[in-house]
Amino acid sequence: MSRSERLRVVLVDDHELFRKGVRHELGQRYDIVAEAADVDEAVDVIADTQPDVVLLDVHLTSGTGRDVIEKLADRDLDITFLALSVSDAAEDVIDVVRAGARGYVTKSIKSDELVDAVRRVAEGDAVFSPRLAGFVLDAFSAAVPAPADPELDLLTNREQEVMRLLARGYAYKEIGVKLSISVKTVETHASAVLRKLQLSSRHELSSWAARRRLV
Amino acid sequence: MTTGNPIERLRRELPNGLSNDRRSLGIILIAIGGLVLARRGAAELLPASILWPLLIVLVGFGAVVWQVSKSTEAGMRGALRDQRVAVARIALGCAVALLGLLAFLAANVSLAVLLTGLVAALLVSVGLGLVFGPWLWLVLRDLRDEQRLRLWADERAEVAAHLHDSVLQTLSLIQRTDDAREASQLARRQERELRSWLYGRERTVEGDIESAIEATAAQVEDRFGVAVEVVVVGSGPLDEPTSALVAAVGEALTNAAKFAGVDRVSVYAEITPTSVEAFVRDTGDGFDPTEVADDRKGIAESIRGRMQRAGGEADITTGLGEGTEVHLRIQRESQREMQREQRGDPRGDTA
Repeated sequence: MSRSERLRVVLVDDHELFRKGVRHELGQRYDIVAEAADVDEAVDVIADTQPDVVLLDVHLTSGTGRDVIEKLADRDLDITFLALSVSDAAEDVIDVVRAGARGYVTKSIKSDELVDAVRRVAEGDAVFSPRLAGFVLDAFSAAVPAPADPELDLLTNREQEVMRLLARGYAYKEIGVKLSISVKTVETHASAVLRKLQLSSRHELSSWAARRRLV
Repeated sequence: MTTGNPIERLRRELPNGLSNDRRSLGIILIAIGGLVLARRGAAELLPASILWPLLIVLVGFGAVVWQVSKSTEAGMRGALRDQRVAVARIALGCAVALLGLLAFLAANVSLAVLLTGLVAALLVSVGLGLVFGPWLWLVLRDLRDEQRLRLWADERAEVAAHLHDSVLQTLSLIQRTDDAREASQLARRQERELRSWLYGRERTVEGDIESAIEATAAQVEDRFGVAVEVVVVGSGPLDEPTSALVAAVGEALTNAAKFAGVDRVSVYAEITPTSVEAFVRDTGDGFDPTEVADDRKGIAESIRGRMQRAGGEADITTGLGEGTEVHLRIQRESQREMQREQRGDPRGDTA
């Protein structure tokens, strides 16, 4: 995935002002090849431009980020999605990640962190905002009934530790220092958790997410 | 509320007080009664033994009447505020009148004189009763209505002032923000605030832990203009120990907002069935724990002290340039009860 030229990025968000801001923040490091405001427009421009990374808003006026990912799924494109949203509803976040996004960050993210997050998902890493880490811990908590497939439905102790530190606001580098492991190992744990989040068959995940919305 | 100002509507529907002419008629009647007595007294050379007691009676009635009219004319508020004084005055007036009657009876043995006097006095009393009885009753009712109205108006003014300071301000803020999260945060905080205002005092041991932490974080965001990222895992109702933890989270956040020199602070809380843990972390200046300024130490102690008093713990990890993390832990009330039961100590110390 690593290329010498600049990463090509598409912005999908229904707020024009927000796209403008992100374009300004990312434009110096990456090529913003297109913008889109709704689901159909997004599917078209992404298929047209075939970017490396799509910054995808969870909520669009005509649908959700998940719709965009699913509509592009059968086109066999090598595109990485990073979900970006103001939504803190677990349902939306879990949905878009399970549909295939490599990570989720909130819109309150700082400029340099967003630049970094785009680079990392392009390199194949998983990006967890503290909130997503919290959702994962909640969804995989022991309070949820016995899993069908322990390989996919449970987090290892190490993975839990990594998620806890992410939720506490630690960066991967800081987590490595804290747990005395390499940054690469932290990445490996995070990617493993993302995989479990996407592939876990536990139906509790969605019902948990729906329940949480009511809290 | 339907159309129109409800206070105005009620005011229109209320019965009017007695008109001024009826009141003056009463006063004229009294004056005539007094004149007749004086003339008769003078003409038949009746001794002061009749005149003076009657005058005393009149003074008594006068005191009562004066008090009542003062209540209506000089403003309800004053009269209502010194309702006891008013009652005392009226009672005193009645006592004086009674005293006059007794003096009258005692001083006059002559039956004829007594009868004449009694008839005159009776006439005056009946006149007074006829005129002032219903009037007094109406005045009292008027007073009650006015009092109720005033209370209502005060209450309404207070509600209006409160809504203006809180809800209306928040609504205008929400209209001006594009950030849905910020809007919902504002709305949530406003809802909580309004609820506690509507339904009595601030509810310290109700609600759930997550919203309490979010409300605390929102307060700090507002006060210090820092962003507080809140992540809560698990859920549960607030109880006394966790309320203390939430308060300590607030202290730690305030601390970070004031001293860390950063624009973002993280809160992570994990709620299990037995305990609650919270981390408040900033990546700011940090401080040397061995060389803390007095005020800084005070804040740290207020976090530690608060947690210890509630039966929990607090650890503060920091170093110059290393940021600060405050780690708070406390057992939930249900867990403590279970432990007490296991020890066979149903009503143990809660301190």
